[in-house]
Amino acid sequence: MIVLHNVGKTYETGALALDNVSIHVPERDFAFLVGPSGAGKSTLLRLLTKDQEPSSGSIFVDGMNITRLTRREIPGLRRRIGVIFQDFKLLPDMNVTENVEFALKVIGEYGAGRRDRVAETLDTVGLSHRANYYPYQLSGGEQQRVAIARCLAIRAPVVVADEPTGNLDLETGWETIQLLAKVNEEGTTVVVATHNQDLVNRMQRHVIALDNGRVVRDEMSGGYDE
Amino acid sequence: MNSLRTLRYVVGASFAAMWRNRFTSFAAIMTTAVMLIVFTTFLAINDTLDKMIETLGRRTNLVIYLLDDAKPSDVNALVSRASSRPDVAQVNFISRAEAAQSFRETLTDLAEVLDVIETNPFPASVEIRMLDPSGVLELAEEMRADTAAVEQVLVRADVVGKLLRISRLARIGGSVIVIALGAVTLFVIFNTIRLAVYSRREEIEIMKLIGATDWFVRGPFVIEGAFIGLVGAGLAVVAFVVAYSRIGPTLNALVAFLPIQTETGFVANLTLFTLLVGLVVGSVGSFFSVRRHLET
Repeated sequence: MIVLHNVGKTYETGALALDNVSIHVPERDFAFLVGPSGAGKSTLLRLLTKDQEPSSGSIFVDGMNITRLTRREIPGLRRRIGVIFQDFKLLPDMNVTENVEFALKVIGEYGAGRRDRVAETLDTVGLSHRANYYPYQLSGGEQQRVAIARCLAIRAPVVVADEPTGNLDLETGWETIQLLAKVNEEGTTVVVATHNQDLVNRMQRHVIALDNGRVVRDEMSGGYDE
Repeated sequence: MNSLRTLRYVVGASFAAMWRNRFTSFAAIMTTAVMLIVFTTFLAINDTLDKMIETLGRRTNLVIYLLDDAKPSDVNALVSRASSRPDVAQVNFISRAEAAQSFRETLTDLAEVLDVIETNPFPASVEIRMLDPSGVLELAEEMRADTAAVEQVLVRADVVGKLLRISRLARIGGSVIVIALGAVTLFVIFNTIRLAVYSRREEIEIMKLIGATDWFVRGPFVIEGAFIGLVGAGLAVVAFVVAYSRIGPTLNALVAFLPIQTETGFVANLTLFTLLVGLVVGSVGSFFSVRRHLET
């Protein structure tokens, strides 16, 4: 599902972010990307959404060699990868329903079922009772659930999350990861970049550890440390 | 169906953004309007000058009085030389008898004077009407040089020459002003759109992340620029038409020979042209702004 083959990324400043990284995340997998700050986790996720270009190597997502995509083909890729951030990235002047609906409008979904789909995904993430709330009226955990609902609404086969629990307390963080696990059980490939040792240890899933831009560990079931 | 809905979204988003930045949008519209008022005024002045030159050009530009003892062969040579020039429209030979006859007809009260004199005091002449009056002075010089037949050359085209100079100046000055104002307007629209892009940067970032196409992201801004240009042009046209319909007839009554256009055809053409210019300036300004500020 996601394959990186000898991928390197050097920034214009000369800083080496990724060094000859090769990983494989199978379809329907739930993988953690762990490592200290500056290990290259965020860079790797940015390469997957083609927010940045690799300096070398090739990347395959959902069978597509995304390093060869033209500018016009990028929207097609991004519709297949839902992205979740530490700071949620919701639109502040839209309520919960509108935030999720907006994602559907962006990808050209205007069908009669759009409202139903929004209601359905809000139900899945347990936010039906907050449908008309604005982001500032929600807790951090609730905002993150809106971001997850947005990925579900566009039916992205892959969801990548960059420190999704970074702004949340331990309990809310755990609930968020549980929700992502539920999304994964329904067939979505999930990649989560995190520092949160506790969550990784409790989940015991596929762990890819990065350090200084290199893969130092890759095991299909494990905790934060060896 | 979907693309129609996308279009509706894109148009809606552009109006929402304009409302959010309404003061900037208003300033941009007013700048465009002022620029286009100058533009239409310049076009109207230019058109009036062209019409004046054309009207005056239809009259006789050059009268060549011939020597009484000029040989008919010399006169014929002069006439055919003048006729052969490509910028000459018409050459008329007026004999001494015809000149006297014309005098009797036009100034009947003074006709008796001719009877008293008994001889015909009028010289024969050649009247020349130019197709393009710009060569009239050169032709006059050429005719003056013909001492065998020509007694005197009268140029009636000095006015035309002055008009041509004014028209040229107006064209150059007007073009400079229009280009300068056009550049200012482009710059204002460019910056207005930059501000609009900035105020929606979060939305744009999220749109791109979710997989919005370039058109979906850029469309609202280009439409916003086009709208600003079009409304500015609309205001300019309204201001111009109101002013022109009041000033035009007054000027016409005051200076009878000023061929100021008052037909609706001229105003309609000018209106359409101005609206088109507004639309183009607005779209181009916003297109470049969006390209400059919305690169991934």
